Amino acid sequence: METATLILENLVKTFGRKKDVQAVNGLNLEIHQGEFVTLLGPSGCGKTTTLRMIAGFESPTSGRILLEGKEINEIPPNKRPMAMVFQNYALFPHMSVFENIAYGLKVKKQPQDQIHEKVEIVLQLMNLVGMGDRMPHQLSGGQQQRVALARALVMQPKVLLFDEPLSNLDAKLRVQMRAEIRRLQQRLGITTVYVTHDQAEAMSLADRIAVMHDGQIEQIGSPVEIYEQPASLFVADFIGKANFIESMVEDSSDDHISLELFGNSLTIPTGTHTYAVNDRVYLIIRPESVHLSHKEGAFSGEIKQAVYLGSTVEYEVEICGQVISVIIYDPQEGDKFEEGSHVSVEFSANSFHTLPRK
Amino acid sequence: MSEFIALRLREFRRLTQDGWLSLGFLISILFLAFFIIFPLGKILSVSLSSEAVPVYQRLIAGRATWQVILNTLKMGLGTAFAGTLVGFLFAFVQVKLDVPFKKFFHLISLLPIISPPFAVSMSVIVLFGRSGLITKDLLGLRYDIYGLDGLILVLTISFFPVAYLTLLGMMRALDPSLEEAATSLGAGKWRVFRTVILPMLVPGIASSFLLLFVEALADLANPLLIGGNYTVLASRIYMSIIGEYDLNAGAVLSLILLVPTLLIYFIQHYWVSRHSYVSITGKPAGYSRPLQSKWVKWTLFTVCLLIAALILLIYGFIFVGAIVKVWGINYELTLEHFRFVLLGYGSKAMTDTTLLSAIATPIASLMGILIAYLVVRRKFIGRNLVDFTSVLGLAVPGTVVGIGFILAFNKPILGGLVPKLTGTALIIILAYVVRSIPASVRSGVAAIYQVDPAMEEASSSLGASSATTFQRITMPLVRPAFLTGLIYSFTRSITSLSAIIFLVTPQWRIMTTQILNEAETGRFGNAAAYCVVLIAIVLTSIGLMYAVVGSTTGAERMIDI
Amino acid sequence: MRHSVIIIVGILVLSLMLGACASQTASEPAQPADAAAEAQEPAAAVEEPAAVEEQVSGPLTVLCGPQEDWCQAMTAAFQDQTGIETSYVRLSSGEAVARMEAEADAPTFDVWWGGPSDGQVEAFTKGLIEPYVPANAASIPENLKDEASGWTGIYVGALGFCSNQDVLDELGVEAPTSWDDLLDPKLQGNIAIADSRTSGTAYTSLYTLVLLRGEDSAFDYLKQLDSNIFQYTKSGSAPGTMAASGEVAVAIIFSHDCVKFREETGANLVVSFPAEGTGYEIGGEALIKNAPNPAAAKVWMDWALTPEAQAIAATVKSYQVPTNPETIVPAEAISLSQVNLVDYDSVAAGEAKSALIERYAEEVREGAAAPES
Repeated sequence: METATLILENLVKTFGRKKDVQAVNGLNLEIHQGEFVTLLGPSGCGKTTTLRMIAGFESPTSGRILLEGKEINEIPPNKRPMAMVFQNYALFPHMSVFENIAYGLKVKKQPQDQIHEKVEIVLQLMNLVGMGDRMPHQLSGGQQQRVALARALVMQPKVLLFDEPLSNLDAKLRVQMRAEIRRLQQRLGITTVYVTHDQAEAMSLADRIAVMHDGQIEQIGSPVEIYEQPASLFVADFIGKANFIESMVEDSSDDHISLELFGNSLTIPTGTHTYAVNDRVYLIIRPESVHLSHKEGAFSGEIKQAVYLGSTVEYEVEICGQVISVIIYDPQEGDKFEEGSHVSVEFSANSFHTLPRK
Repeated sequence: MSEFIALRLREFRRLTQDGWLSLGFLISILFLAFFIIFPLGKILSVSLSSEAVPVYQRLIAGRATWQVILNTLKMGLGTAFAGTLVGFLFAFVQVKLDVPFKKFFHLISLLPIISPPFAVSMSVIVLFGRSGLITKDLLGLRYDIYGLDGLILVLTISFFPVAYLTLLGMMRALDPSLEEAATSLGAGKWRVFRTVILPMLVPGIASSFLLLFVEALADLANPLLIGGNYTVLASRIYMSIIGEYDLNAGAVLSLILLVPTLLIYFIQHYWVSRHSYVSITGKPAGYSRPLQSKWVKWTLFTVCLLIAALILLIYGFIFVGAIVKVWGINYELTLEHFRFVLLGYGSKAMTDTTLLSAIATPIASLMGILIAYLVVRRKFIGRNLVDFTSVLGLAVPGTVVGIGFILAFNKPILGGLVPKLTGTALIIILAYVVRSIPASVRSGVAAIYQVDPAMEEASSSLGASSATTFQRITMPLVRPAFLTGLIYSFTRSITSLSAIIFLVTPQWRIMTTQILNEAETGRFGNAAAYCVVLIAIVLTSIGLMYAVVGSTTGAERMIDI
Repeated sequence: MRHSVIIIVGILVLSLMLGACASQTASEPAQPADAAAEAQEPAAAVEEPAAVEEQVSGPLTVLCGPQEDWCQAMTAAFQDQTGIETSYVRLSSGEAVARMEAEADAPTFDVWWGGPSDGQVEAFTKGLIEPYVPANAASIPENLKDEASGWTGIYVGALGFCSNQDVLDELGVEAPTSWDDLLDPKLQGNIAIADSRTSGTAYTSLYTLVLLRGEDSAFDYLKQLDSNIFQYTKSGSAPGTMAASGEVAVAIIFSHDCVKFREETGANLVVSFPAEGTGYEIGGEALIKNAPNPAAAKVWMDWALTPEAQAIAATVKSYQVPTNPETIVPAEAISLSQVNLVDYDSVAAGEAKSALIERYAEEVREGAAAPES
């Protein structure tokens, strides 16, 4: 295990005269060399504040930030070997594309010809060849974003920081840029911290996702882990859609537990949590893992709402007083049900995940 | 407590990382402390000292002082009222009426901003005085223009541009959909005006009223010339220094003048402008339909036209005064007055004043933008105090600044480290700088707010120090506002009288005091020629600046008196 | 941007240097020159300033009393002739004494030239004058100088009435020929006079009235006159401007000023004098105590009494009567023999000044602020 490149240790950041706004509340994170980590969460969760602390634009109220083993709390932002890509690109309007990209190199007082060479390389990399003389206002949104990225990359930083860089682009462009960013990062192998509130973005880009809520990391893991084994209700609810079915533990052993499900028993493999008998739990199942049919089955429910969206159809089904969301992809004739009709409900046994319930 | 100190230390350390930028900050703050706070402090200490007690007794006992205070109030209120009204009229005509000559009206309203302090007074005396061209020769009246009526007329003309520009900006930024909503709910034009438009403009009207009141109170030039025996606080202060050289009385009277002007200035600055319901970005938020009613439209237009014609007449007449033998008596054409100003004795005043103003201008502008940057972009203890102090130079009446300077720098201080400054060119430059910094700071603040902080952060994240960022990113982006600030500082300095009148020396002649000398000994021809030359210098510098800048971006924001 | 920063810093430094220089030259006394001048003086019999000029250097700062143009002409001529850099500030009598008093520790001025003698006596009693007898003082008549209090007369002028004939005709009044004529109700709001607190001219009129009528009666008169006064001006000659422009009918100023106004403006002004008697002003020169450059001041004072120097007055239409009998008297000057002059003792006038002014401020101006116009 290589030593982590960037370590955040017990970071705390409070705002306000009475120090009552706790933006970041004891955050710990280790990021490895070449890793792409996303900070994902709703607005106000502290992800941007954390990013800014890494960059040096905010100073932590307490806690440490270590880069390659050395504490960098006191180092001002311009002296940290990091580069940041901003949400609204922050291109210098009075400088051309070339000058924008060359800016950091000029500050470092690198010789003219070297600068020229590097900028050309990066222009090629970002597909901006020939645009060196254009001014920012003459570029499209996507082009501006690429210039912003080029400007950061040309510095060959140790850590690359992104602050929701794609939120100002339209949906199609966003998907395109996403792929490009991922491709570039893998090719160049730069440690990256990426802030976003868009889970699709996080899922598609990251090696690991840190889901944040109220100033803390709720769970950090690979996209698969986060999705299939959410560690908390918040994570489960935030990533994708989830059904939370109230249940109780009937029996538990080393490799299986039995739970009450709508009056019946359900046995599933033991997950990460250990329970005692009579513990209250939530059974979490994704809407796409619930199957509906006209056949007779273990569970039956009533269609409360049906929304037909073309490539999918979404249902709200009531079973034993609880309402479950169901999504069916590529609905066939047998998958279409009327509101008010009764259906039988089947659950894929391996699709359940449990979380404690108070 | 220790956390508090730790935080302050961190802030301080952050500031020192700014390199030469922090040196600039330090110099600017020291300047503020030394040349604004210290002189004002001196005034306070002298006027509240034991030596001042007999002055208070004398002043309170005599009827004269109360009369003077009353006079001052009447003059202030009269000017504020008339000026706001005229400003409102002009702004209304600009924005809401579809009439010809709008560009002309706009230019006329800007004329008083660049004109020297005595110009209007002299012209009014010669036009409307006892032997006035209009009053006596045309109308056959012997009208005593000296006194309150003349003062209010002159001050209204001199200061209504402030009201005009404030209200212009506000009216332009009014959201037309509000009027439309009211109309669609059944309100007639007059009701819409009364219940929707006017209330939204109340902060602007209040703001103008207060500003005009303060400007009138602080004015010295006009009461000296056209006040006659109508004494106001500013002229009383002048008398106590120049006539009686009684610094104690001067300080006490300054205090009396200072308290209301500061109070009102800050009420206007912090309370009224904060409660503005309309965002003043200078960009029109859409165009409302012009007023249709012909009757109202043409009446307002006519009034506007008459007032504009009057202003044009007054200013045009100054030029006449410069080229006739004896203004008001002998209308034979001559160039002797111009010869006097440009080639003869007056030329030294012309070059001296231009030189000193030109030196003061970049200093004030640079310090202004540094202070603005400090106040907007940096958090540190005492930031509000710096903001407050930077505006004091203008909030305080000029005469008070002058007296403060005399009291503070009449003797060497700090054991000879700072020599006696009164009587030098340096003190005049300092007075100019102190009076110009506020406008620079205000425009700097407005301009810096419009720069996305992400720009500066991007620069920082690319490795640039704060100083480099300031130089390469911030300054180019606020350049238009900065350059416009330069013009404004120069204009303000070269036309200022009240601050430097106590500081002039035999070696350095200032045009405005020369105009006063010429005017009060009856040599109006020379005085008028000085005025014309002064206006020419100002216009030239404005032209030069615009040639350099190219565009007028930010120009509207600049006229924030 | 870096370049502009350098330029700005450069200007800052330059201005500081300029300012420092300016303050330096203003306060540096010409010490070595002093000693040399002292050594030269006894040797020189005829007062040729040129002989002393090599050792005496500028700058010389003159506190100048009369009108600006005369001040300008004098300083320019002096500078031309002697090479001594000279500048002046024009202040009326009250202002001058006030300023000198305030600066007593470190005066800005070297010599007070053209101030009314009673003002100079007042200054002397306040310890602000260094008695000095200029080289040509011997030629000056006895009653026009006072060695003890250190002033030597340079001109004389009689106080009188300056009336605008056109306005008089409109009002249907004759030009006044006595002080009582001024109380004529037809002249209501039509007389201009300076404020005695700031103007030497007006003080002369005040003291004249005191001499003619006795103190109490004089103040009664002034209180009565008040209703006819249009404006109390700050400077002594400003009433003349008003008369010339027709704003008032009568101005109480020195007769030579009236002539000057008439010449310059072409207005229909007539000079008249009160039959009871009128005062006069002796404009004198005096050396200021602790002057920064007394050597140059003395050179000036010697020179100012020469006929050539005194003749400069006529070139700027200043028609006071020069004190040096050898000076050619211009035709326009009003011969003093035509006028009934009171026995005006400058010294007594100067000594009485502060008390009288205080009473004037209280009773006539009702403690009102001195005027500014």
